[in-house]
Amino acid sequence: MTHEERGLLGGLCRWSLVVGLTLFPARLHAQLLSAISLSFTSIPGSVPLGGAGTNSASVDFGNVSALQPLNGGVSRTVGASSYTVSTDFGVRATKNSLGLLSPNYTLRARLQSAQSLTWRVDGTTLTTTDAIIGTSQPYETSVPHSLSFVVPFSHAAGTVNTVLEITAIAN
Amino acid sequence: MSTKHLLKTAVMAASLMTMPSLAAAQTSGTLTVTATVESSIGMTFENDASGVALTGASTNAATMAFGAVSAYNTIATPNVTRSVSASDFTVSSLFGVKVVKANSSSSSYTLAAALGSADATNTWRINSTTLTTANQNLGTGYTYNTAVAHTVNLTVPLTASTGALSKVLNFTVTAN
Repeated sequence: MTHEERGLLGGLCRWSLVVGLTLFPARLHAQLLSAISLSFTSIPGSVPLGGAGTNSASVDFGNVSALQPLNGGVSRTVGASSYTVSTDFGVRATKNSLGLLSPNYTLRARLQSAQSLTWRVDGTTLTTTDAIIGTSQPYETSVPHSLSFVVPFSHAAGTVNTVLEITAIAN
Repeated sequence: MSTKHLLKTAVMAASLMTMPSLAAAQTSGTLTVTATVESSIGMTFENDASGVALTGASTNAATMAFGAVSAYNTIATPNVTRSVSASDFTVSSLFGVKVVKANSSSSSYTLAAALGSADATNTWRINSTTLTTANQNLGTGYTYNTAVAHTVNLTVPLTASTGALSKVLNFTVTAN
């Protein structure tokens, strides 16, 4: 191999490395995204979650009304023109070795689609845009959060469905 | 610079470039929430400005105390009215019934009342309707969200023995 050929080969190797390492961080990033994980937990005295222990859970308040008895674990406050029903759910975030440097996490929540009723987590009204529910949340602990929604007296009777997207971000 | 050195440098650079990604590590979950909103109505007894003050006003379990009543003595309890006939006397007082509704298209309600137990001696009426232990219709088309005044009347025969008396009156509201 001539000196020019070796130089050309060395240049190709260097550029290949540059190109490869430019792409490489994206793969690392994808790995770091899984540095923490989240699951929903049931809180004693509140509505038991369907799918507790997973990151795709459900809460069924059952029949709710302003004046009739409610299911166990559901609480209610009645105002002049609306009532609010609530229950608690838990969020447990865990981190693996890739997340060792993170001391705690920030929790955010949003509605996956706009709703006619007002939904709140820990008193924060949700929209389809992420809202901060809490900062410095501890890992490896089921942290209880209040989930509530407001039903105006004028709201028609019927089924209510919504999906909350809860996000934990490593600090 | 050798390829080995270049590789080390590049790996270090890649590591440094990914450090900010650690701070942005995140995970999400979805919580599906369901409920069924039901229609409901509720009633409360309310004080009437011209009636006996209720104990437990603004609840659905109130008490109206007439105090000492008689055909001819002064009745000390404010807002108790009396009428006396040849064979009995009647004491009366106003009270309010307020019915609220939620998540309902009903525009009015029907009110009924019954005695909790029979009274062989005295006669109990709400407005002009004599009560029995079976529900008696007191009226239809009552309006929600406002205290509607009603009168409870107790008629005591002049021949009745003296002593305390009490009676539970049960009220039932039905959405129209």
